[in-house]
Amino acid sequence: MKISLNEWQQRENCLLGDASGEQQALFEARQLLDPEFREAVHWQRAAYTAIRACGRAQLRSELKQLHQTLFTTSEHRTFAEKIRAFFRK
Amino acid sequence: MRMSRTETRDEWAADRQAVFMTLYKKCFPSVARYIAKRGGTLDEAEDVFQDALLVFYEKTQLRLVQDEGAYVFGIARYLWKKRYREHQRQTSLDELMAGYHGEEQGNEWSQPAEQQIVSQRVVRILHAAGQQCMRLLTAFYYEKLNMVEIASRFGFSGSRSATAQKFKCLQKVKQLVRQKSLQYEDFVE
Repeated sequence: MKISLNEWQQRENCLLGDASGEQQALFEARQLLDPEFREAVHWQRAAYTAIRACGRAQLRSELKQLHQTLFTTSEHRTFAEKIRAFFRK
Repeated sequence: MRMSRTETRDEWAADRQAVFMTLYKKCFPSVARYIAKRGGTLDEAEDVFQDALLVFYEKTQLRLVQDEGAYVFGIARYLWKKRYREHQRQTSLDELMAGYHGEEQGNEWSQPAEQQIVSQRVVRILHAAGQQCMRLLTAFYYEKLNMVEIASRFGFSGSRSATAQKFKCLQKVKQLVRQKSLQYEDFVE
């Protein structure tokens, strides 16, 4: 079902905790009464979780790359040696 | 420390990398020393520190905090104790952080178990939404930029057109998630 920009915004406000108390109450009531709406909300919530998961995966990948740079390039040799020394028995 | 919010996406990516490089050089030595003294390995220190940086980023979005070194160290120490001393190596980052009462509260990632994380499968599936869509969506929902900042970074004429595009992209992701019936357990690392 195609929904308007306004409807998207309202749903998002409710799901992200940015809605007024009245809007939130209506949103909750509609979920109870309308199974189709409830399902749409379920998948929208899952989409948010998946998007954040992708954001985190991207950042994790950047951090791994950065670690690799710090521990394999001559530019950062002093730093890497200092860290490795902590782990020598 | 705060990243400029008026730059283009490439400039922003380089800027974010530079900020994390600075944080890494400043904060990793104390975390590595702490873990080494407790019998940990460099690989374990890397894992714990990178998780701590993720949490730090998600809680602050790199906005100014009073003592970022102490903040990151506090998270890392907590994660080390949980993951290695209490043998919770398989527990997800969000579950571990749910018990953390550090400097800041209120991050939705630290709340219910179903609000959880990543798997490479999810990332692969969402690639079908297109690179530009995923960049836009993660900029809003993960980096927490507002729509004016997003319009600037992605070259939209204004926040309204950026918002329209954001919801088109969200619709794509919602359909993909639905088609593949992704469930919350798919998001757990």
